[in-house]
Amino acid sequence: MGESVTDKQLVERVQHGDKKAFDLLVLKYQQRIINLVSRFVYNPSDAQDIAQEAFIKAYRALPNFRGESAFYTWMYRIAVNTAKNHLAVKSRRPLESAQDIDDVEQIEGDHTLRHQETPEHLLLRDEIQGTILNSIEALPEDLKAAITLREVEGLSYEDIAIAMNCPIGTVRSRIFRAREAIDKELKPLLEQ
Amino acid sequence: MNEQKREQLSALVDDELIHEASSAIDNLLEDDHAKEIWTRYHLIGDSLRGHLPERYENTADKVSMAIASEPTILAPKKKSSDLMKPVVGFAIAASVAAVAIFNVQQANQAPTAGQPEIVQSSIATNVASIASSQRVTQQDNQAQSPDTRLNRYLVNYNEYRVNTGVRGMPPHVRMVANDTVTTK
Repeated sequence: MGESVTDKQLVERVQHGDKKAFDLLVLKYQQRIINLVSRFVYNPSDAQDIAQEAFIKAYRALPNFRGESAFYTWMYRIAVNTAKNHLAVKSRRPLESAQDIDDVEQIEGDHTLRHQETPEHLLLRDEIQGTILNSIEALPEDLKAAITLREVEGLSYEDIAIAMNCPIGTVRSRIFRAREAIDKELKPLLEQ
Repeated sequence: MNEQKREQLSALVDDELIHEASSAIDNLLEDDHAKEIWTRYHLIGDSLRGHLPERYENTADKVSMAIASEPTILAPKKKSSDLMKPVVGFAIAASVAAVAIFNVQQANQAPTAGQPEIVQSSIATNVASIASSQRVTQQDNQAQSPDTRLNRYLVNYNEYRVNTGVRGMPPHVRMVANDTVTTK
């Protein structure tokens, strides 16, 4: 993964005292980091907490970030280490009361518990994915191709322009119009 | 936020803004509506790439609140001396190379008749100052053998090296002159 010019600029701003610039990095990477942490920690609430802790650790460590790797690569390592530390601490924690033993019994039947905990969130995730896929299906072919090549295949505007045999400016406009159409359906869902 | 700025934001999400990136980030930081769009545009990409976690939640507000109580980062700037190190090193290396070439050429070439002085190189000031000590008149040149001039070069170079810290022969080593053996 190459270094993002935008990430580099945001990191430099944070390193020079602009805390708000770090918010943009969090907004950009939060879902990927939570998803990553979820591979180590199966409880969604724990995954959220660990992801937050990882972002705070990253903020504190940013003065030492020299940009030798991409910001996400660096953030990835912090998130994985935070998740592993969480598991290590959890495995060392002694059972202190009968209440804890009850908790363990409940957690062992955890699969049902987790799904009982978060039906609204699960529904929302499925709704988000369904809404986005339906919106893309409804797009004209040129917009659908442009957004798919960009978001799924990860091609640059230049490569998409070659693949679609059109100027780069047209690619930029098509991707923007595709996003506008998807966002029009997505925004009301998130505001519910 | 007008359509042009939203299109610019879309390109920023794709990391396809090079020259306009800084101004687009400025706009983004000042506009909460733009931040919401930034979040949703990234959410679209994460969803299409299968990066959405099991439970969707926007955690950025909580992180932002936690960071608000953290001290502001002020990363130290690089020292100017650190930045100048490569330049200084290159200048010294270039100066030494110039001196060496100049002196070797001088040692190998016989003086031209009618030439009042050996022309000094103006490559660098320090080269000129060293070279000024080596000015010889035409008469001297004619009188000196190549061995004498080579000896002078070695002595001059060793003095110069000590002043500039350039690696070479250690100062405690005695210079041995190359003398012509004459047999009678």
